[in-house]
Amino acid sequence: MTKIRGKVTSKPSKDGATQLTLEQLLDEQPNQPVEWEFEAEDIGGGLIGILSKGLYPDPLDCIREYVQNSVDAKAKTVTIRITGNSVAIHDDGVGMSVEKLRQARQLGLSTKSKAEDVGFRGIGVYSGFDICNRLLITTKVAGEAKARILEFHFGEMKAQLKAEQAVSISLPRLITKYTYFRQEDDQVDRHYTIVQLEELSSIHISQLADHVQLRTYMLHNLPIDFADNFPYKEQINSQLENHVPGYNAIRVKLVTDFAPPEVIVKPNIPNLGEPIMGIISTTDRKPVAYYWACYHEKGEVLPEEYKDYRGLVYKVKGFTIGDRERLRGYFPTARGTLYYWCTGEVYVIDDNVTPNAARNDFEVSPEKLQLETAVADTLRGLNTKVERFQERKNADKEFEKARNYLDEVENKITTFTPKQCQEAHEFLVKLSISLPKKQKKTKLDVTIAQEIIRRTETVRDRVRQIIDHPDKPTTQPIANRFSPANTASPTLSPSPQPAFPSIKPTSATPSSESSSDAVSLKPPVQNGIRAVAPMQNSTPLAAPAQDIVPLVQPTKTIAQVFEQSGFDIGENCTQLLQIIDGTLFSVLTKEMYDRVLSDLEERLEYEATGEIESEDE
Amino acid sequence: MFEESPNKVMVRRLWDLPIIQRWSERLGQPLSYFGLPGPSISDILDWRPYLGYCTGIERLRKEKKQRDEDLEVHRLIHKNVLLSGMDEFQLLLGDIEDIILNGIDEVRHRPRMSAGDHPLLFSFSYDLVNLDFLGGMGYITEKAEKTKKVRRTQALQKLLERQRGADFLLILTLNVRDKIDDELVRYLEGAQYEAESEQVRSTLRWYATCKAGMKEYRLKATVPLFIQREGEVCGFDCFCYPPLAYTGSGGARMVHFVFELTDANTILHAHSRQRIAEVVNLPLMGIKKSSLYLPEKQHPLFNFQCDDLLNFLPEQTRRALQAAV
Repeated sequence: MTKIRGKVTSKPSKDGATQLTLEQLLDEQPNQPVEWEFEAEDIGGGLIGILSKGLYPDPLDCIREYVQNSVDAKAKTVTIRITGNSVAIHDDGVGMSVEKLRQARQLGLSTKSKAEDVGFRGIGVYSGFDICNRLLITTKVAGEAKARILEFHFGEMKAQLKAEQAVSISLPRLITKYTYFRQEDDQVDRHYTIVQLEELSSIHISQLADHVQLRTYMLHNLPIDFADNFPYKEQINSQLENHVPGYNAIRVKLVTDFAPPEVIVKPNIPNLGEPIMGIISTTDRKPVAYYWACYHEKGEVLPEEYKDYRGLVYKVKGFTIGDRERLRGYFPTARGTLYYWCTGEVYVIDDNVTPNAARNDFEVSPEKLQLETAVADTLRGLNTKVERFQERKNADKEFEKARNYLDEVENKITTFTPKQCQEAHEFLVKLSISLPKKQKKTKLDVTIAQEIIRRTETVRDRVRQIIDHPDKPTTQPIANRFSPANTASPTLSPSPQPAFPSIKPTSATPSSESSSDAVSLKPPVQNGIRAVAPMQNSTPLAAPAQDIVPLVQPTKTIAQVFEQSGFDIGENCTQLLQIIDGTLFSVLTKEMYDRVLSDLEERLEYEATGEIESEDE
Repeated sequence: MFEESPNKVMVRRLWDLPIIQRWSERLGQPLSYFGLPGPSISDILDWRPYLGYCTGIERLRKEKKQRDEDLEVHRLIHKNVLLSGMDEFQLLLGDIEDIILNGIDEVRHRPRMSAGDHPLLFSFSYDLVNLDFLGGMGYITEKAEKTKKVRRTQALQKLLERQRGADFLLILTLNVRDKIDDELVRYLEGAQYEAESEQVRSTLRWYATCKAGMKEYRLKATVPLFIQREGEVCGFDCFCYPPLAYTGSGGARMVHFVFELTDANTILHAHSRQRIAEVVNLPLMGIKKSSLYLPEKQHPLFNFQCDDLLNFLPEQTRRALQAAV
C-alpha cells in the first residue's frame, strides 16, 4: 500500500505491477469485495469528546469512573477531595506498574477481567475529558522507590480540535501529542494512586462541590460500606464476600473546602428486621445473582429520611445499575406498596450479564432475560413473605384494637345512648366474625386470642340485651356481675374484679396440714371422718344496693363450691378464687360457667371421697 | 523547581516551632493557617501538631510554560496533602497579595476562615499567617511610582485590616533584595521623630545609614516598626520577636520576622506594650551551619546580655546559643 501522510491511497494491482487507487481497484475487480485498510488516521480526534459527553453527561459520573479503578485496585479507603478548581481521588490500592499505566491510556481496550473487575471497557479514564483541562494519574506500587505519572492535557486537546475544524487531527495523534509519562522519586514505602482533575470550570466545580448531591450520588453508585452500627453489617458483608466475586465495600472520605470532612457510609435504617438473603438461580440451578433484603419490623414504609433506600436495586460489584423503581413491578401486592417496606440489593454475579456503558440497564442478551426472570421469581417470593408479615401485623393490630374497644365499651356502656348501643353492636358483630378468621394469622398466644374472641361475643350479647330491654336499668357493670356486700360500685372498673362475698376461713383444725394461707385439699378429720366444713361465718349474698340490680346471678361461685365440698381455703385463696371467678364469668356464657362449676363440684367430691377411702385402709 | 535550603528548615524547626507551640497553648486551640506552603508543604508538616485548618496559596501564572510549572506545584501540593492524610486543607490559586487585597482567588474562591458578604469587605480570622516570600519588601513599578503604592506593603496593610479583632501570629520572610531601599531609609529617618531618647534616635540613624551588604539590618529595623504601626492602627498590640537573617536557596539573603498580634479591643488605634526602643534594640539573630547564633555585628549600643529575649526557645537551643556567644 502507498501512504501519503499516513493515509493509504493506493494498493498494488492484482498482478502487483502498478499501484491502484480504490476507484481503480473497484474498476479492476467489478462486483468483487475489496478490502481497504481502516487506519488510525481514520479515527478523528473528536471521537473522544463524543464518547465523553455521551457516556458521562454528569460530572459525577467521572468521579464514579475513577473510583471504579480504586475498587479494582483493591482499595479499602478512597478519599475524594474537592478544593479550589480541582478534584483529587486518592486510594490506598495496590498502585499501577509502568505497563498498567501505559494500558490505562488505551481507548476501548482493557485487560481487566469482567469476572474480577468492575471497569473493563477501557473508556473511563477519558470520562473527565469534557470537564477538566488536565488529568493526572500519580501512582506508586509498594516496594518501588519511584512514583509514575501519566498526564492528559485535555485542555490542549480541546483547543486543537476546536482550531482544526477543516482538517481534524486523528485520535491517536491527538492522544500521543497531549499525553505524557513521567516519574519522580518517592522513597517512602507506600502504594497508592491519585487521580487529579485540574482546572475544572466553575460550573462543574459547583456541581461537584454540592456536598449533599455528591454524597447521595456516591451512596447510590459506589460500593459503599454499611455504617458500623448497622446491626447486620457483618452478616450481610460476609455473605456478599462469599457469594459475590470481587465484592469489595469501600469507605469513602469526602473532603470539600467548606464542609467538615465526612466518611460516607450507608445509613443504619432503624427498625429493620433480620435480613433475608440468598442465591438467585435459573431453573437449571445456574446462580445469576445474590440478594439481601430487610423489611420494616413495624410494618411500615421506610421513613421519609430514608426514602432513597426504599426498595431493591441491582448492583454489579457494588455499582448501581438503574434505580430502585426498576424492581418494583415484582411486588404485585397492593400495587407494589409493600415494596417500600423493604430495602436491599441484588448483586448480579453472572458475568454474561453486562451493564451498558451508561449503567442504567443491562445489555440485551438471553442472559439478561434469564436474570430478570429469576429475580422476578425470587422477589415475588419475597413479596409473599412481606405480604404474610403484613397480614400478621394487621391481625395483631385488629386484636389489639378489639381489646381496646372492648375495654372502652365495658367502661362506658352504662352511659350509651341507644344509637351508640346500635353502633357498638354492629361493630362487635363484625369483630366477632373477623377475629376468628384472623386468629391463625396473629402472633398472639392462642389462649389470649380466644379470650378476646369470647369477650367480644359476650360484650356483643350484652349490648344486644341492652338494645332488646332498653327499659331495664343498666347500671350494673358487665364486669361486676354480683352485687358485693356493701361494696357496690356502680361504675365499671377497667379489669373485671368483682367483689365477691368474702368467705372467712373455718376454725383451726387439729390437722397441721392446713394453713391459713393455703388451700387444704383435705377437709378436717374428726373421728376419722373428714367432715364437710360448714359454711361458717360466710356472708350470704347481700341484697344488692337499691340502685344496682344484678342482671345475671350465678347459682354459686367457685369459692362456694370449694367450701361446700369441705375444703379449707384461707383468705388469700378466697380472694384468688374471686378473681378467677370473675374472669371466667366474663369470658364464658352463663351456661358454660355453670357447667364449669358443676364439673368442679364433681371432681372435688371425687377427691374427698377418694381421700376418705384411703384413710380407712 | 524551588528547593528550600537547610537553613530555612532550621529556622522553621528551631525558631518558629517553639513560638507556634506557645501561641497554640495561649489560644488553647489548633491554629488555623494561611500561607505559602510550597510544593512540599514542609511548614505545615513540621508544625502539624499545632495546626488546624490550613489555607495554602499557590500562584497560577498565565504564560503557558510558567502555568505548567505552577500546575505541577499544585499537583505536588495535592499529592503531599493527600498522602499526609490531611483533611482540613484548602488551596487557593493566585498571588497571595491579590488574594489578600481582593478577598478571593483567581477562580473566585474565598478563604475558608473568612466572613462577610462582599470579598472586599471579608474579615479573616486565621491564627497563623506565614508569608514566606521569595522576594523582597517591595518593587517600584511605574504604577507604584505614581500611586505610591507597592503591592506587598499594601497587602500587609490589608491583611492586618482583614484580621482586625482576631489575634494571630504573623511570620514574614523577605529577601533583602528590593527596590524600595530609599523608602526604608526615609521610614527610619521619620521614626526618629517619635523616638523616646537620643539613644534610640542614634540607633535608628545607624540602621538608616547601613552600608551596602548590610541590607538585612535595615530591613530588620524597618519591618517591625512598620508592622507595629500598621498593626496598632488596626487595633493590635504588636510584639516582635528578634528578627533572624539567613542564607536561603540560591545564596539569597533572607530576613525572618515573627510577630504576635493581639487584638487590644480598642475603638481608636492600639498601643503596643513593646516600645519602639525595645523593637529597635532587638538583636538580629543568624543561622549558620544549621545552628542558631548571635552575630557579632549588631548596632553599636546593643547589649549582648539579652538572654531574656530568647526565653521562648527550648533550653537545649538556648544553651547551644549561649555557648556560641
